[in-house]
Amino acid sequence: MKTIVLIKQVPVVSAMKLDPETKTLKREGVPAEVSSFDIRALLKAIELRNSQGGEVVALTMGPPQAKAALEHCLALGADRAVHLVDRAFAGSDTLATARALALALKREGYDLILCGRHSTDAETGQVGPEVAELLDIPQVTAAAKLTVNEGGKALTVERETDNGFETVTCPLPALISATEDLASERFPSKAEREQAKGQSAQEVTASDLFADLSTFSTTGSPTWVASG
Amino acid sequence: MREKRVLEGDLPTQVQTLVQLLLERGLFGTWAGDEAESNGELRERKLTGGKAVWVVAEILGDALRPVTLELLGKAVELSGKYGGEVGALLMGNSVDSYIAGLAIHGTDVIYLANHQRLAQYSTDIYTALLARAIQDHKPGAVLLGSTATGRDLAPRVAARLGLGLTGDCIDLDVNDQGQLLQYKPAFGGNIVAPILSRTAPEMATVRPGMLKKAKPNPARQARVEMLWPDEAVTSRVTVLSQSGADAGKAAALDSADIALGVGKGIGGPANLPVIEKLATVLGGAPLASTRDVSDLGWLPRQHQVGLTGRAIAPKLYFAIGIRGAFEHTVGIRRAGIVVAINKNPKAPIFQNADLGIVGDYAEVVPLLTAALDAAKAKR
Repeated sequence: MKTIVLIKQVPVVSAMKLDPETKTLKREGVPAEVSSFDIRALLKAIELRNSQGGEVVALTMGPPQAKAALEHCLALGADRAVHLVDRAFAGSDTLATARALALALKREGYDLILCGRHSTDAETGQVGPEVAELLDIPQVTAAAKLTVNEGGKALTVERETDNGFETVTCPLPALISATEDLASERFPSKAEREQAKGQSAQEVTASDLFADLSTFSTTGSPTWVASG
Repeated sequence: MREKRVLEGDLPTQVQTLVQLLLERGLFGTWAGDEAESNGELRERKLTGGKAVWVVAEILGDALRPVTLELLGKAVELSGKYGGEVGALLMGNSVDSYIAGLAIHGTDVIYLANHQRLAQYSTDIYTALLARAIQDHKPGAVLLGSTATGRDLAPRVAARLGLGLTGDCIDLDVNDQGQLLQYKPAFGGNIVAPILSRTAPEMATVRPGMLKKAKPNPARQARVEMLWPDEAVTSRVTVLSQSGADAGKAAALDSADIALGVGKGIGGPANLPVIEKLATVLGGAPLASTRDVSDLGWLPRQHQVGLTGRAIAPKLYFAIGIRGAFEHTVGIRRAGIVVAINKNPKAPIFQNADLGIVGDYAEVVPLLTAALDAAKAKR
């Protein structure tokens, strides 16, 4: 089974400070991390691979410094990492981001796509379901437990709802978004970080994915931030 | 800004002072500012064929969810500016009993999909139905609650129709150009950005507890138009079982006036009954948990408040045995009065609280429960 985990590098939100003069967030010098829900998704993917075989690929779209987030995923045990990195992606909203990710996923091939239920910075939770829709595959959001059914063609997922939990089955390929209960948090050991140093993420540009670059960035984004 | 006032005297004195202060500010009566809370009487609007504003209705248990009524309050306000209809999409099985509730809260037209196939929420079937309804009726704006269902459904529909979507907004307004301003918090609420869409309809999900409900007008009626699920669309995901368990009460956090937050400082789940007694005296206030408490399984994940949980806005919040990590306090930014009870005077929660008692929760909470019970009896 090939599992692709969508991850996002986010600023450590608790370390962010407001500039008292400009009332804007100071981004400089704020440490970055992989969004907490995405880490749970990755650790679940690794656990499944360790017990049943297959491959785990970490995929992100982000600026050059997001490389560090992918290196963290490799240290935790991802087999490979893919980095969509290009100025032509800058300013993409959730739908333009989902388009780029869906194109990369088609190129890569997958049985299972895992992601966090939402990122801890933008908190939209939209990219996962938008990717699933663009790929026309089923989705289960807010998964707390996940097992692969015998035969490896379907999943049994326990998902969190607002008033409890529901257990569902879902055929593969599918996209599943993770809550914090899907896997326990873990940090890579020094040895794991050392070992991962030899590996690097494969870089993919916008033109590798699609000829018409206006499908990405602000031109491909149906929403924008109004000034003032 | 919080008052950060730590009360003085021995514990019984501090508890008495706290109860007195809370009564003065509206406990067991009317909270300050509560009068201005409602949007007031539903004014009949002039319909001039402007942009229609739709609300996707949700039912929880056997009632319309509070967030649906909150969205209708906002839809009425927006449609006053647009001169268009307020529409509500009501999807489910045997849901016609909710028509009246939607009508009296300001809905002009109800798009009713009442079918056995809709008995349970299904991403595939509901997405097809909502996307089709939007294409057929062309509303100007579509609003959903930022709930488990809303967050599953809205992005799916947005991607199908190529629409912009702003998730988890805290407010909506109309700008001079008649565009929908969607106020979206990010970075744990550190900033709120106004978002606009270049596609129609404009789509947003709104966090529960953020908007004001309209006062219902029992005489109001709505037109009903029927929608039918597409027989060719089946659900790829099959629900095997559902469990409500204790988590059902967590949904009450969205609209509760009073909530009790529980931290690791209470020592273990065996001590929850002490907190529940206080909750009972406070009219059945729901419990909130920190991330640690949910990680440990003392309370279900749905109760978790904070950066990786929900954000709540009760009039009064008690932080009991909560240290006050940023992870938790971002979730109570919009709470009215925050009361901290913690035995460590240096705990950061006191910097994020209005009123604080330094003391062991095991001593303070029973004293507080008794004092509040006595105060309630006098009212």
